[in-house]
Amino acid sequence: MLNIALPKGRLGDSVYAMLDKAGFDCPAYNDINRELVIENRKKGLRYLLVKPGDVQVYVEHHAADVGIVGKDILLEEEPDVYELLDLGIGKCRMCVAAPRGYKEDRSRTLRVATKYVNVAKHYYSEKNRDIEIIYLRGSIELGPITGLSDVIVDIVETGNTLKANDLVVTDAFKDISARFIANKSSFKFQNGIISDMAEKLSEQISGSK
Amino acid sequence: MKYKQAKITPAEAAARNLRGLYEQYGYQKFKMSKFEEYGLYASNMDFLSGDKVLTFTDLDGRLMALKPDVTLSIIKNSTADMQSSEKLYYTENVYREDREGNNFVEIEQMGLEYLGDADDYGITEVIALAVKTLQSIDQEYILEISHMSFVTELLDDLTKECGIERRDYVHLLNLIRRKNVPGIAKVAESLGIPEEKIERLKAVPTLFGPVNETLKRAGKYVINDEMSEGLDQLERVAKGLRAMNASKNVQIDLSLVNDTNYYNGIIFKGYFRELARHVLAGGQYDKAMAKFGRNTGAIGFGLYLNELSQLAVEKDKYDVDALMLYGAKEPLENVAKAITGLRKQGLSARAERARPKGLRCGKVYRLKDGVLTERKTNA
Repeated sequence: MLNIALPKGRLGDSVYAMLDKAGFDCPAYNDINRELVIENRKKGLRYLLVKPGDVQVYVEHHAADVGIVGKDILLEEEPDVYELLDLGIGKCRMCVAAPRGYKEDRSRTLRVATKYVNVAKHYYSEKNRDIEIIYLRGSIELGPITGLSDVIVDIVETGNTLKANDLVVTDAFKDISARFIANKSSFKFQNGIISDMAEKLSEQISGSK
Repeated sequence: MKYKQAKITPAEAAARNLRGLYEQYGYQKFKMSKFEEYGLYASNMDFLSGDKVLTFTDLDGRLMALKPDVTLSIIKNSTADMQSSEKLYYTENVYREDREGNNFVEIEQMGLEYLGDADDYGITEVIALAVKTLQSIDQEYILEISHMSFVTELLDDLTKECGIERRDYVHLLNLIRRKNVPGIAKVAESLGIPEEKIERLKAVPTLFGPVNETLKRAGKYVINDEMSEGLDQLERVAKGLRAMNASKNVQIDLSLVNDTNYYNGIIFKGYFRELARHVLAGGQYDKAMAKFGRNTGAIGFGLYLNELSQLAVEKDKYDVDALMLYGAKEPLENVAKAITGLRKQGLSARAERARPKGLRCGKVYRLKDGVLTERKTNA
């Protein structure tokens, strides 16, 4: 039995469509009142529908053998897993954004509001910049508006939310997209099916380019 | 009187069986102090799996640490040289930060070290013992072997030929470890590395699988004598393992790389199907020996006994087979006689005045005036 952790929501739906096309289907996925765990026993597949930010936890701890997770979460959490494919969907960029016309004052500590604490720390430590991290769970854009922070570090997809809050991207430093990950132990013991899955997904990615 | 066979956990069984195995091969038990001076670790942080060490100030004012690692202590205390080798094994507790990085945890580790001029046989023997170690715990295991030179030579070549910086070197190394082929391609292209070299880098994560077939595929990507000798050595060792009856479930994975400042040559990791992460890790650490001024080689491995607690074991249905209840007026001799009688049947039995909360028992007896009667129970 191969356990696949899928993020609930739009990204999970797109990836499931790819898996379905590749022959890893599970009819119960389309049920309206679907369960959190659905199976296709004949093909030996079990899908776990979990919160997007939890996929890598299931995979790292072996509750799932493979999973689909955003690169932003991999950068933030650095789970010990194999990162086999870039699925090329759910694309966005990890950015620093600031109010329009903002000029950084290098003489004092920079206050950074973000959901991605480790990503922000890493980014600024490479620049040797002294910062204060302000952890927020959502609506990061409010940071600079309310004077809570000078800038924000966040993922930006269309930029519409930034624009609406009069913020501009000052540095887009990482491309983000959905990744296909595997537990290291599972990858060895169930290599046949995992490699097959990776290959079939990869064909669809190169086909769509 | 025959005692009941107590349930033994996989870790306890391993610790006991493995001592016998290691001693049969002439390895001697090595016991060390719980503490080391902190300086030992401060100057060798890269060798440790994390950078957190549990420290305290000793009564004489020295900064001490609870061992986060055993190998460094062994290297420091070793007297081995090129002529005279040392073969040791140990069971020790080490103290590290937990995976979430919130607390220190105690980790029980068992390991084996061969310090000396390890030739092909010496290396093969240690790996054979690693295989036998895994076999003695669970049959569904995989031991994967790699040779550090394969990846380091490819990356050193990039440093020499394409002038990549240390930072990019480490970045590429990490991408290889994570088998992130698209990531390797992207980074390598951004560094302006020629296409044929990129192809070689992208191949590394795919070079895993059965020994002979994988070595053959890997041969195509060799660029110098060091890489070629690395693959040859893997082949010789694999042959040796067959001769030592320890080649089952041994695979190659050339994307396996350890810290390049301490490890060199052959390295390996052991996995069990049931467990999320590797339970055994080891390899040659001649470079670590050199850092301590030891002019000789070394190879060894460690087994994380605490990870084994996750292996499924058959659970006992009951906490005790029999519970015997007796009244306040029951004479002591009667209680003693009756409970001994139950135990003589090979049962685990507990004598109590009242039934303890939550105790699961097979049978419940009532003792009254020296007469034992079984009670109907819905345990």
